[in-house]
Amino acid sequence: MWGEIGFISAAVIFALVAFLSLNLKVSDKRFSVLSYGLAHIFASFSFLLWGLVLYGVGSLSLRNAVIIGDTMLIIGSVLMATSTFQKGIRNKILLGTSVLGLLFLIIRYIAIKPEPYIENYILIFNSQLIISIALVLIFALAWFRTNIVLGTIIIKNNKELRDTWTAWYFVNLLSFIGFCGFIIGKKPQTVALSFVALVTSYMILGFFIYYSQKVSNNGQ
Amino acid sequence: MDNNNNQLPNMQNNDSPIFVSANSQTIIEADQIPDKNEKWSFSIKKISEYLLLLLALVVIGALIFGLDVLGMIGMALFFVYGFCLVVIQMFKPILKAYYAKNYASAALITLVMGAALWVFGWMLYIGYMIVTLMLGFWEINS
Repeated sequence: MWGEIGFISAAVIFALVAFLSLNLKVSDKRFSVLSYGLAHIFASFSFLLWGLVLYGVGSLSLRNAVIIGDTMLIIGSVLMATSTFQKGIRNKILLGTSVLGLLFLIIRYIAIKPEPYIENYILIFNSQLIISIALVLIFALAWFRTNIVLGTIIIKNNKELRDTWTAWYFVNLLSFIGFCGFIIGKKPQTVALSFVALVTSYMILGFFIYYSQKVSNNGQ
Repeated sequence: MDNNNNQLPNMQNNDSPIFVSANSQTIIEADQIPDKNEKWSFSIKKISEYLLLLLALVVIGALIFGLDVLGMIGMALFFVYGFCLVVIQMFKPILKAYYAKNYASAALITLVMGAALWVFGWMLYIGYMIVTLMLGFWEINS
């Protein structure tokens, strides 16, 4: 029950962040709003899939659901990683990160298979040590870094928002911890609390994006 | 701001006053005049942000190596410390308005931020209640 509600609400919040960010006007040419928004849509799909599988929709096994969800998260991460580069370099970065992502997924399919299980209605990913480290690095380099870059761009463009930098930084770090705890936590309590932290921080990030859009619209 | 006598304030129709240096003919907007304490406050801000990052890395390290209890304690510490930093940062505009002798503005910002903190406090309390209830249900079920 709790798992399904959590995943479905996460899917809705990520979709909302995607929608808000797609409407964001960023003057910096290095930042691609489209890639940023699409990355969140892919993450939203993976949460939706896990929620539906937990609810018992379809005949997809838990392991296959985790593999498909991981694939969507990797696609989202590749898009996220490429969203902070200029057009010329972006294609090269896209190629490089796609190859790395594919390599990670091949290793995940063949060599180190996921062994998820459900405990107290909570999906435990039970990731192996090497996979945990790889996922933490992916989230740090793709998601956390991009959000920090976006925050810097937004605050640079709106002087009114200068004092919100610490809040933005804190919320992004919280989402980083939340993601890591949710993916690599072994106890249901850790996974549930981390997931709540991830969802809450993305809710606040969505509010920040909406608010910055309002401020920049008022400034024009 | 340089308190040299050869700097004459030249108020124009702009929002911010412009200072014209008689010697160098450089025009500096009031917004760009560095605050005396800016460097110091900048470094404190940076140090507190690095500490927050360090705490986050400790939490993630604990979680990677399966030390879930240590990770959860670290997460709670991270939340409290980060929240305090955000609150301190939120008081900056109030102090700025107060030192600029803009008391009405300072009072208004204090009121708005007080209301925001009050709402956030209730949200935290309700969140805490929900988590406690969830943990209680788990204990009963297991």
